[in-house]
Amino acid sequence: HEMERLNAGTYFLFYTLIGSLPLLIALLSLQNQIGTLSTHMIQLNQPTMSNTWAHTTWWFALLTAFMIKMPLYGLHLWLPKAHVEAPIAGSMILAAVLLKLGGYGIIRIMPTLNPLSKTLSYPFMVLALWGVIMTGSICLRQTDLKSLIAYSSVSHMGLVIAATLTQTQWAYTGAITLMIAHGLTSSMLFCLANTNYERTHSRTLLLARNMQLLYPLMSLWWLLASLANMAIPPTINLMGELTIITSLFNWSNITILMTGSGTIITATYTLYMLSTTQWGGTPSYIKTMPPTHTREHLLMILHILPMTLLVMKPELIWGTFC
Amino acid sequence: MNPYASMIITSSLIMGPLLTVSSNHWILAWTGLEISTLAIIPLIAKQHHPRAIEAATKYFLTQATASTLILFSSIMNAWTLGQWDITQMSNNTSCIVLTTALAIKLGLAPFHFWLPEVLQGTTTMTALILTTWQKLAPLSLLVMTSQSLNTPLMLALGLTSALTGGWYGLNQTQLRKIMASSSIAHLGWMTTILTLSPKLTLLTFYTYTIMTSTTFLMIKTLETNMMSVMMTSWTKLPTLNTMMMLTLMSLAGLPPLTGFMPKWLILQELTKQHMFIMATAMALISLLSLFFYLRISYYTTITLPPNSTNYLQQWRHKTNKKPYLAMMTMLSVTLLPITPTLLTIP
Repeated sequence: HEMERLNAGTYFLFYTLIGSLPLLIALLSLQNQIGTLSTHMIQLNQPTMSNTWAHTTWWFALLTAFMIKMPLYGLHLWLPKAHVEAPIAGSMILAAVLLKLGGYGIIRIMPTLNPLSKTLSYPFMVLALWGVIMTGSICLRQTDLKSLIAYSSVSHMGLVIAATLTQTQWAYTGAITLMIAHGLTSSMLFCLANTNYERTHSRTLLLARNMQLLYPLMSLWWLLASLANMAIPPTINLMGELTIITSLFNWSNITILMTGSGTIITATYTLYMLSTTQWGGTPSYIKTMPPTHTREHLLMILHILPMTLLVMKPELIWGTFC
Repeated sequence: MNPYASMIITSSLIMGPLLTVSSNHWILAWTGLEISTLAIIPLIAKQHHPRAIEAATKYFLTQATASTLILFSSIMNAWTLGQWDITQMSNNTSCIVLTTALAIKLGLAPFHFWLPEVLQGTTTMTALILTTWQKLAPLSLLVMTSQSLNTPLMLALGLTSALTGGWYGLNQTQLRKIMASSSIAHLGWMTTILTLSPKLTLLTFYTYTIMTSTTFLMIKTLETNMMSVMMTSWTKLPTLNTMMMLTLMSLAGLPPLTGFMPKWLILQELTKQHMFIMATAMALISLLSLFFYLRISYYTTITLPPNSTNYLQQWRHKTNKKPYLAMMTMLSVTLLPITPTLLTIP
């Protein structure tokens, strides 16, 4: 276990730094050109982004760090390792905060990058949309529960990347709604996986089955989290995803094929995860499982309560775009 | 050591670089370099171990050759220009020869081959003096002549040194050789920015000195010299072990620690001069050194019980704590927020 943990740390650190060091240099040269790095001033005094090799490299340098953070499908190798090896608090912060930093970075930097984004965002769009389907399919074959949730993170963030690259108002709204919704949902799923891990000391999906019989209330949280993850109405996950799918359809009609099948695959693996952990026959090797703690239920309520309340007033997370 | 000998050696060691730093005449600068070389030879060879003798011999040969070349370049300059002023080094050939000589003295690539073996052959404290104090004199000569030096040559030396330092350390398990490769890499960063902003060279040198001294003192206190004893060093002084990880990450140049400051300022200066490829190359190459610093910090700090250690315990001697180590650790880890103040240091 030790070796994989150290490996995961190394992968995480080096993937992040390979993206962020060119970002540092790109930002320093941005400051050199405009005179300031204040976002207000940059909006008013945009740098010239012409179709030269230098400016193309500059465009990639400014965006790659955030793509690695999100993570984009081709650069996502650090995420399953990091999530699987991290303790629960680390996984929660990683899923709910760190990934969204990448999304926030893309939203903040995109206005500076026109007009090159019209042509150069295509590779990232392709990778993001293809990643939605690919990582969703990988989820169906996972044996490790945390790894499944990690790949589902990549899948949802792929939608966010595709949306933020189109730079429309609906896309931005959908992106930040989905980021907040996914942050809460993913963190809650990791907490639920941790309750299993604390009792069985294993992340294997098939090990803790038919939990509904043993922990009925916990299975309620499992149900709510899984329903939110597959974007059931009226959750904010659905609001985010639907807004993104609509804006992507507006950008190009063909994306509906990928986003639609992505939605179906998401529902499939979420139901797979739910049914494997909650239903099925009780395994014969489960003798004693300690009861649930109040702190675990409190943790789940603290996740599901904002999600439920935001259903009533989603304007709070729609941002200033529309 | 005999107190008379010790007094002579220590005073010569202190006086040598100070003489070089404060001189305007080439002969006096060369004299200071020779004094510092001669004074440290007995310190390197003190152990009477064959490896120490070999290290002393290698050090003497390389430094003497470099000093001869410095003398030659200054004589050439004096012959063509008629004056011995260090800052008026206008003859191009003598600048090139001087750069080569100082590269040999400092241990820049491709003249770095002596540094790991010399550092490995000496004791920890002598290695500390070799990497910090002995670099002062040649670096001050570089800074004094920086306006006449050839920028592409400096950039090439800097890039190859960073590459060599990064790659050399990847295969090492001995901590002194790792510190040697760290020295090569950091000197690479210093020479990169030399002709563009000598002030940043000096700032990098000061922060490098503090961080390296801290690391060497920690190595001395924990008595860990190789990877095989690092895994059980946390038992001696647990807090120091944690600080060792922070100091190593500071050497690697990770924000928000001090070591990020010189790298950030150098990258900023390079970008202002539109040397983007150089800046990106230097930044990404420092990731090589980051890997072995990270590996050391894994072995010392991150793999702790209840995980099983793969190595045997060491004999426990009386841990000699150094009281100034705490202050130096604080300096080597927390100086980043006061960067504007540090930029005012000439």
